[in-house]
Amino acid sequence: MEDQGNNKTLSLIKTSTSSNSGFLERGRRIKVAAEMGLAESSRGRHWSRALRDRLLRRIGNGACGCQKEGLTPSKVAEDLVGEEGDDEVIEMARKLRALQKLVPGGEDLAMDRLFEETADYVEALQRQVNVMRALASLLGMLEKEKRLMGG
Amino acid sequence: MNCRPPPGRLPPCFLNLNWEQSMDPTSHFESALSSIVSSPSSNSPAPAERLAVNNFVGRLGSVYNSGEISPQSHYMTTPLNSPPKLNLSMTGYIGHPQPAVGSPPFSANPIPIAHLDQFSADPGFAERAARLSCFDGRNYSAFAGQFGLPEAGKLSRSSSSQSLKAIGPQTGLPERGKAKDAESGNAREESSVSDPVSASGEVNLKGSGETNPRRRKAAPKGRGKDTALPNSAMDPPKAAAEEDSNAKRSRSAEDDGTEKESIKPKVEQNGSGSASGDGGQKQGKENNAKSPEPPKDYIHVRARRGQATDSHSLAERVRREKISQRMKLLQDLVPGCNKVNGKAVMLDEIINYVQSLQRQVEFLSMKLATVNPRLDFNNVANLLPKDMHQTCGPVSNSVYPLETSGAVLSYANQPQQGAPFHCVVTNALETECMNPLDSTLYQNLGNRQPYVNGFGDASSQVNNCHHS
Repeated sequence: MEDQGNNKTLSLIKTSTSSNSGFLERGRRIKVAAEMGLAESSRGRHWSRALRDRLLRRIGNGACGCQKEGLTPSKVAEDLVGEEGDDEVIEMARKLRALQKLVPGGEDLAMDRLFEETADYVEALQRQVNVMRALASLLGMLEKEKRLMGG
Repeated sequence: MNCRPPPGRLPPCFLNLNWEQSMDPTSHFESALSSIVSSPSSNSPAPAERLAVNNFVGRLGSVYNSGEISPQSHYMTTPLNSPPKLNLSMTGYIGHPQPAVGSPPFSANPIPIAHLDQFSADPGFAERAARLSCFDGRNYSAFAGQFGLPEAGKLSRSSSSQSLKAIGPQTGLPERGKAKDAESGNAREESSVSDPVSASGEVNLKGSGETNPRRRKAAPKGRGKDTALPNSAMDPPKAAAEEDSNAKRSRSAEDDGTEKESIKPKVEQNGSGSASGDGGQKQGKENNAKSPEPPKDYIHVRARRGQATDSHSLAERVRREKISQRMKLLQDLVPGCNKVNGKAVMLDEIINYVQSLQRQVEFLSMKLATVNPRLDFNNVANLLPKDMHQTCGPVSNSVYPLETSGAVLSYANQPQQGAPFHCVVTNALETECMNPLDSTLYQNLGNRQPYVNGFGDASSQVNNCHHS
């Protein structure tokens, strides 16, 4: 029986590995779902709205494959940064721009709003990661149980 | 009084000496002791209490020596019997026992005191320690404000500094009442803070003093040096809170002190350009012309000594303070950000952290894809134990599996109902089984490695198994 299970496993793995797109596709879908859940978890936030818009747009455009990302001109960080030396200003501007890119909807946020949104986004991400990790471990445990019970 | 010094800590004997020798603050001690006695769950006799307090202070000393700053949540001061966790508050305080009783600590980073004899030198120290112990954490921000802690964050700095000042003159008042007075008397007090502070203008102010010429950006920089000292007097309450964000600015402070016009940000230029002329003349007059601000405004900016009060600079200052507040917030969120004080470094940390969190989400979603290849969350609740042969619905419809993940988790956690979930997984796995993958992934997860490591390992394993 175990051999049967192993053979089946191997064959299934073969089939699954052959259908790479299936796995990746599934993973991507799950990721989209995860991000949607993330956005839903903090509804009122600017980044949440931006994330949702981005996801919906991507889903909508996914079929035709076009990547229409309306990049709003990012606020020049030099305006946002306080007093700094010249190099420092450039450094800071670069970092702020990087942060703007990371946080959804951050491109059109000024520095103080950006930090606010970042803080909230970080919190939501932490929560999301916890949930997903718990889910994954739960499922893993269940599978292990199933295997142990001679499934 | 027993003198049992905990190993490696401040010998309570010191404190005992102070405790018993105290002539003037005797009344303080009595009131403090009475408040200790009245604190909940504290029903032990006096000597034991004193012991506990000494132990408490000793622990504070040791904690302080470790230079550790605990997160803000440790503000909660517990009654004597529970282990004290006043790390943060006392670190801020202990750093400067020398200044007069009413003066606030000056630096955001407590200077680790290797020599604990400073404790004994301060007769009021034990009293303050006792007072600390009687807080039951009701008024966190005011409590933090008592010691002018920068991490108080939410409490405006003017009120924190002046609430600290309020400690000095008032002796036996209950802390809570004092804190409330402190907060209500917000604007009024700040000017009075400046006097003792300037009186004790010390080395501590040096760090903040450097930031001052820079902070008064609207004022002509030529006069920065003249008024640097009186400015520094007013600044510690705020500088203490903002020193980390001003650390970079202080570097350019000297340059700005010499230059008339700082070239840096355009916004500032507008403000400085328009106000440089006025600010210079206003400076002398502003020093004494501090009218009490009407408390009705919710955005309160007090013009500090020597600073121009035109709207540009005020707005700038408000903005900067908001930004530094937010950065503090972020600092608390991002692990390991407490030690760094530079804006740029912190930004780096934040960016790294956000990136890693995003990657984690991605990785976990991929992992979930392997773990439950055909799990249909929408139908989990409908499953019955008998339904072993139910084939799972297509995965494509579970576009939002995680929306119901919470329900799934709670559902599956109940033992009697875990079976259907289990069965679903069973069915799913029978049709498309990826056991070796799962086992390796599960092991990685079970190890609970720190996110960076577990990340890399598990993802590489996924890749390996996937290509095998």
